Amino acid sequence: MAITGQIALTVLMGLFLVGVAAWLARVENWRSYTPVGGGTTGGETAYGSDEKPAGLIRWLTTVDHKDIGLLYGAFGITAFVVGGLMVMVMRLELFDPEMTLISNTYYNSLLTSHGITMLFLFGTPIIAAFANYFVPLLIGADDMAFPRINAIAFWLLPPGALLIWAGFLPIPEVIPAQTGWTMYTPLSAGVGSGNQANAGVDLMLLGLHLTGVSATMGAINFVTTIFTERGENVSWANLDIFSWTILTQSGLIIFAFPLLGSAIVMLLLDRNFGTAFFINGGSPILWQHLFWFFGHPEVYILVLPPMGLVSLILPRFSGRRLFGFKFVVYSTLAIGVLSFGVWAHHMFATGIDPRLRSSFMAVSLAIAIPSAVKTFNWITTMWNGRLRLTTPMLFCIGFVQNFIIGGVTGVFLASIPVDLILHDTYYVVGHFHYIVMGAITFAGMAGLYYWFPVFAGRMYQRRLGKIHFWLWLVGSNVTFLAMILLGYGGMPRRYATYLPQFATLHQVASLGALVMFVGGLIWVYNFVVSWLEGPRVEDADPWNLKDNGLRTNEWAWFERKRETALADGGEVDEADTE
Amino acid sequence: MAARTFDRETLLDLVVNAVPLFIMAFFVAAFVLFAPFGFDPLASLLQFGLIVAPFVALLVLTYFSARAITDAERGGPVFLPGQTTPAEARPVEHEAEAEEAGAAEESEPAASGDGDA
Amino acid sequence: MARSHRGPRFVVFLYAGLVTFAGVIGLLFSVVVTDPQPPRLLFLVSLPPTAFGFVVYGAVSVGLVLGVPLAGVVYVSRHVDAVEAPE
Ligand code: HEM
Ligand SMILES: [Cu+2]
Repeated sequence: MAITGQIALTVLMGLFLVGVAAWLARVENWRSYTPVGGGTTGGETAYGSDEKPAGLIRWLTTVDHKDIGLLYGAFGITAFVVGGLMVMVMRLELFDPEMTLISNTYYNSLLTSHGITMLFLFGTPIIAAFANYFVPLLIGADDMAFPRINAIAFWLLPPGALLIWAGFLPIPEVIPAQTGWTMYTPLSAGVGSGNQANAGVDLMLLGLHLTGVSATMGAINFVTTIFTERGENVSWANLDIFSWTILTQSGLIIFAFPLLGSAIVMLLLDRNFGTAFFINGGSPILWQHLFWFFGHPEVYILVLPPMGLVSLILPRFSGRRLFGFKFVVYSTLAIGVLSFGVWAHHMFATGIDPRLRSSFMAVSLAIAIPSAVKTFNWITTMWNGRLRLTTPMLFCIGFVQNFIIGGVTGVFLASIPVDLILHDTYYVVGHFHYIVMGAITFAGMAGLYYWFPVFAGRMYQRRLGKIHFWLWLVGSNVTFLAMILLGYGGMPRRYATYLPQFATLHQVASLGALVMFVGGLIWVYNFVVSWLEGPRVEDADPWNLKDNGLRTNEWAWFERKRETALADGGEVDEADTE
Repeated sequence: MAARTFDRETLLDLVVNAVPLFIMAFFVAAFVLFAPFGFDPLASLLQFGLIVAPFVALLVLTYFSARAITDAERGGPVFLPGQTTPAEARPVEHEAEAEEAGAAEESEPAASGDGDA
Repeated sequence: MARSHRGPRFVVFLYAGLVTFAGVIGLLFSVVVTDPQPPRLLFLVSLPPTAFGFVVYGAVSVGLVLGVPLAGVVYVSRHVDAVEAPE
């Protein structure tokens, strides 16, 4: 029986290899994807669509930055849906105080996976989606500096995701990690009587490592691209704000992610080879230092590009330039540097030396200034502007609103006496969800709606877009306000069950989550239907940016692309005209 | 030194980063003067290192980025950020120069956008 | 295309919303937390630890924290930024 199985496997493997060889032989010109050296500006990319193979093969072999951007986008959105469904199950479980729907351990698995999915499989990739598609267009480059590395970086993500989710797949004896996204030792080192010595945790760590490698490769690529591939007139003096934030973010990634990778390797060694970094006489607190030295920059890795998106989009619908552009640039850089000096504000309650603690508090207060400055600039831009409340603009304003609430709650946490009370309560959960969902995801939506005409060649349904926005604005504020209050009431985070006195607020939070869920359904419906059969874009300037002299390079590229398509009567990607 | 390398406008722009620098300097001074938790060679070294290191790093990065931006402004045409390739795009006159020139709305694409002293 | 709205009206609306929000948090805080300490407005004025006290505390604190920068926005818009104000 076992032998037949092995033979069957071998045969299958052989067939697969033959298939691969045949396919490699069939794909013609696969060497022709050589990046053409820079020099030309703002032109069509070096990879005309006629060079691309058709169908699935195109997507598997592409090294075109726009295609890779779309792949990142599809991946990120898929992960967002997965992570969103996970949290919906959790919120349903939290509807009553007892353990009803799922077991406590399964709750913990979902909790861990939700966090990791949203941060590493949705957040970072969706930003990479925008950056891949639009940074080369914005800086007038032909493509990324290293197109193939770009493709490799993307293709590391799906295996990473599979490893991270491995515990949920029907694999015998592998259970999902239940360590929380912070993977604190000693729990995550698998010691004690728990079940976290399971291989599922190792797989999750390996998957996380892969996504880190992917992010690092992407970051190196962006830094090189922005430094060396800028078009003729694009200098540091007129680099757009989104590229500035991507540049800074990439710098942060290059310093932060390798550190996470090393820490993960150390943890894997501790788990499997008996080393003593964090357990066996090592220091569990060392993990927290290593993790947060990565972890705090990570939160800015996630928030800087969305800030860039808002800085780019919000002025276009205010009918005027961004106020204090250079302030925004310098404060971006400041956030980048300072974010490496605040990590222990996540560790105020660990019994750390009070001298060190106060230093971390000082830098945490200093880093709030650049964020406040940006907010000031957005508001001033709106103040003297005429606002057009399109869907992308609404999401930008939602970003500003939620970012203010998230920031104010964060500054409170940075004050040691307050933190010692609120640490590990739902208040913290409320704080960072205001930022990661209320701000970062909102800005991501602003970007998706703003550029929808570019990458889909069609227009979405505006009404549905607005309904989506309002459902999310209301839903997120209901949910996260309830969380803040739960924290004040003393509800600890990361529990599947709770005391009856917290029931009402938990139910309110679950209701808010449901409202967001409905909004999410509308969004997915709108995007799918509009992508397939929305009205084709008739005008290369769908937002009328020319009127105020605010048209940026990617729209000019879009116009040229449409003109070329018209001139030779051919089809360009999905954006052919009637 | 900075006063000679950067014009007034750039220095004004740099005020944003001076504020966090100031806050960190303030805390260093406060910790030196009041030493609320006493002195210990290792802990105090770390305590100050943790503020001084980001302080220096921020100073250095701000200097070099301001250098790069100023040099770019002096060395070539300056467009609105991200708006170099649209057909209607024109280099912007430097604000100060534009005011002196009496605000010419549609300037010809000038070869150089440097208006700095 | 969408109608256009005047910036100041809109921003003030946003500001009012955020201050109300802080007041609501204050109100609910007094419901959620049993036996709270009396809040001290700006670390100076002691307010009663009642719903009213916390509403005032939340709204006034946030009103100031955001209001002072907003005054800054107005000032800057009038004096620094007015050159390129639209129509
Ligand atoms: C305005 C500046 C900010 C300050 C001063 C601040 C402060 C803090 C502090 C002190 C904590 C630790 C609370 C605790 O565990 O007891 C915290 C947690 C957190 N913050 Fe912020 N924050 C700020 C902005 C942000 C931003 C922009 C993001 C996201 C992009 C963010 C994401 C997080 C996350 C994810 C956590 C929770 C980590 C965890 O324990 O799981 N924060 N914040
Ligand atoms: Cu942090």
